[in-house]
Amino acid sequence: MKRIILTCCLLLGISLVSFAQNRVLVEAESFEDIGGWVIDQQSFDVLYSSYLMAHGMGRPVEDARTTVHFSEGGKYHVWVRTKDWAPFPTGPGEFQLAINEEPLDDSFGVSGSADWDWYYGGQVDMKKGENTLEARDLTGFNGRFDAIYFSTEEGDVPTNDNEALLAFRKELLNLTEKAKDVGQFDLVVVGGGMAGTCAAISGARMGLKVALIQNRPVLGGNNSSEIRVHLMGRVDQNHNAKLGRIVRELDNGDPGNGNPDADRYGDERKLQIVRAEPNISLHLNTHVYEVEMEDNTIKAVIGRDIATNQEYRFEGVYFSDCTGDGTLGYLAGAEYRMGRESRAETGESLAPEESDDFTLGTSNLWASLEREEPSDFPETPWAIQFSDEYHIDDHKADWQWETGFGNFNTIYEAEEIRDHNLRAIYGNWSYLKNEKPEKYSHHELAWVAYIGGKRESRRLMGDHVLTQMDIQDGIMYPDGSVTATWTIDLHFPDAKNSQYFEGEEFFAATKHIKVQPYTIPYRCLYSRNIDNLYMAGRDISTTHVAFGSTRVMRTCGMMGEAVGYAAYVARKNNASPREVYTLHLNEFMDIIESPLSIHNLPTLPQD
Amino acid sequence: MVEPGLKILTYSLTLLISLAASLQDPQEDQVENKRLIEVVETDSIRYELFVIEDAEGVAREYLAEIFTPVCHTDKCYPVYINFYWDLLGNFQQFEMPEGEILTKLDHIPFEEEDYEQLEAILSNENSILGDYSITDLVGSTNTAESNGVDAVTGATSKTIQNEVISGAVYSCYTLWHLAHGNLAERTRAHTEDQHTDKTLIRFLESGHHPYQYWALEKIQEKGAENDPRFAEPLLQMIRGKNIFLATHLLKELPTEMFHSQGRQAWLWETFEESPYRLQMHILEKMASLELKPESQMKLLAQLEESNPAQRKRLFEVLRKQQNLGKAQQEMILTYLGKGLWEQELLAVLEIQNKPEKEVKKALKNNR
Repeated sequence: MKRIILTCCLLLGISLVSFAQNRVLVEAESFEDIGGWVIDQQSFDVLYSSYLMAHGMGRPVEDARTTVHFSEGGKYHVWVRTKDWAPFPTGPGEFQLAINEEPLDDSFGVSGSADWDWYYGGQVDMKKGENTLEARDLTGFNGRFDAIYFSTEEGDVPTNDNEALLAFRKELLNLTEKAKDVGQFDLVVVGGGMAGTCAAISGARMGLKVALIQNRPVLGGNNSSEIRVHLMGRVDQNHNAKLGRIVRELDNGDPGNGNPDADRYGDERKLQIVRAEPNISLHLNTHVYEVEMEDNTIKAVIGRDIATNQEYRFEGVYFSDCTGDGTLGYLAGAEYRMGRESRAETGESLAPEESDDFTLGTSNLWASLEREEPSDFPETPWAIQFSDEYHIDDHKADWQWETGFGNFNTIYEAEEIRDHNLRAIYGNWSYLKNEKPEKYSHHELAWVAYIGGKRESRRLMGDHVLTQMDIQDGIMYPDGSVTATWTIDLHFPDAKNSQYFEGEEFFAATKHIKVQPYTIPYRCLYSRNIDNLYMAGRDISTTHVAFGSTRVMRTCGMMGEAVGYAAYVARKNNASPREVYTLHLNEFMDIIESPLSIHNLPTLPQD
Repeated sequence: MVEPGLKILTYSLTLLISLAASLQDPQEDQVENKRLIEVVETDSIRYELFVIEDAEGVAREYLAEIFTPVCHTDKCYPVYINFYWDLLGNFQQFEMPEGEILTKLDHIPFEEEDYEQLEAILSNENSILGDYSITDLVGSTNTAESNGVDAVTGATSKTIQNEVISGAVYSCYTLWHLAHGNLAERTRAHTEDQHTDKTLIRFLESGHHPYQYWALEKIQEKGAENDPRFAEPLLQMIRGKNIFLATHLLKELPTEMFHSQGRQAWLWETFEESPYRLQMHILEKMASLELKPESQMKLLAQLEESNPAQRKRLFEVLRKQQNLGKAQQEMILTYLGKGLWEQELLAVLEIQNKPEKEVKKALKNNR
């Protein structure tokens, strides 16, 4: 009897397996050949995935192609995860998907709805073995897709809940147990902008074993050729002579903002300097999105390759949050603030009456060039509309092209901000090309940033919070380290832009409040509640008002340098970042005050 | 008997003269009349203010022929210049009188690019020249740092460079204040004083937005938006190329202007040819109107054509319409029959004053 029951169960089990549906998930960013499409990872903290986008400035981009292996052939239902990014009423981001050279009947990206969703593509015959997929852009205006899902079961649409979808992705991509251990480091620097790159180089040159993790293919962050903001802040006013040297090494000269010549921003220079450091383990295209904690100590971080989705695990003694957004701090549970504090809270004359979530905006710079031949640019009814009464009469952008200001959240609405900026750029350009040909007939768009240049996100709180009074009274704290020189430069929406686009402004103004060079205390560079976390860059411990001055990139780079030295002192003494202040401040200050490159301190043994 | 030679001569001369006349600048056919309206002379300025009128005596713009000394410390030099403003005191352009030039310090004459830059500076209403005293600006141009921000004005050196001509800061300052100060005010006051209803209509039809906004304001002061002389040109601007003006009008024009079937049909036609954003504003306006049956039908049909955001707006309008006709209610029932927009459509049916029998049934079934 038992045997019969067992056999029945076995047979049932086998039949269940054979009736199991066949499912295949293909992530867009993992296409073998992305053609003219680009990988956008800036919404990773919302979608837990990157996506491919056709950023052609109005010219269709080359197809993206890949091959997919199907263990079982047959009839599959197919869904594409995509959206209409400019549903006014429908957007321009139209694209087709071709499977084994046959395009699906319907095109995608023009549904009139801006929610990321799974759009049904019908049923297709898939071969057992290799099949080809092609994404064909039809317009060059930022069509995008996140993933393609095949299932033999009808109505088997995956979820749109991003967290549940992450679990689903991990299951189908076999990601669950596969985070590759990269190693153990003295200092793990998350974020490869100016601050992070300087921190990594600084620590490495002091003998620390450093991992530098950056979620783009180039270093430099806002100063890279992907965003093209020039370096501001001076390095020649330093109270502490040692700081500023690494910033100077990385400085490729001043090309202004949004210069159409990419090389001027020195991507290659930065990469080469980092690669020349044997102590730095560089990891590009890796986005850190998970941490492992042990009480208030960060044990490791997990980063995902933005293209292949392979996960990597980095263990460290000290970590530095140079992400700009304060992502690492946020994941670790560090205390942070975002938005403006009230005057009552901080005592600052420049603070607003009431606290709010206003932050400085994000810029997508752009530039046009004058050519020999005249050129056209299409009408863009889906973009922002202008007239002779109001438009921005310029052949390229400067810092003022900016969206955010409390209308959109810098972190969670990064995609909406970028899309809004694009609609301003293309709508304005369409107006200039079509209505002002006497000036613009021969101008052609040469470059438009598709990754937004962020200014203000979270600020991680340290043992000291820098204020307007610290700056204006020029208080010299015993741990004053980085010298800052930039004005208190707090942007706000341009009045005229507000008049026409209230609640969705995309053009800024500012009022510079001049400062005398002042120092930023070391206590602003480590977390007050996470024991082994440093920060450098735009996420350090300041008020919103003080942030207006500290945020510029040469200053941020020097913060990175300081963090590298501090991590060295901490490591050498087996101390926490805080203990560097309480117990070893003299050692740290000696290093950064010293004008000499050689100093009487042993470097750490390498293993 | 006239000699053939003389005949030919006369004939050719006449021909030549008429040819010359027709080749003349066509503008000169319209005899422009420069009418003096004011002469002022003080120790800092001397000007003659003219209104330029066309052949029919219609004012077109203002001209001031100005003499002013530009002084710094104890040195002064004379400037002769002509300024043009539109009829509302908006600076248009400048001209140098015959034989006159502008100079920088040390009597260096302006180059072509300096004149061009001056044109740009004078045209900029929001110049920093308006925010600071001359001493501040002179200090700034001498010390603006190359890599940062200025001591006094707080502007970056690039901004200052764009807004003044180095070596000619005093000229820029004096001239800018002339272009945007009392004199400009005088011209505007003159127009305010002299305008007629005909002026207002001309302004509405001018395509020049400062005129159009101003005219609307004057008409609103009189409550005369629906006056037939004004209503047509006002409505036309909603269909014009200037979306900001169109939006402003939609907001400002009283709802009584859209009560009639004719006007509502006009509004729907406008909807169909307008950019998306304006369409949304039109729907917003319709939410405050009691729609006639034809318009109700158009809205209901549009439901199928629209994207989700626009559909939402359409429902907002429909939810205000309590007197839908029989055909309209039947259309809603057809949509319901297809399983479309159940929640929103039932909400519309609920508020009907005269529900059809079928509608009452549908509502009962869904309670």
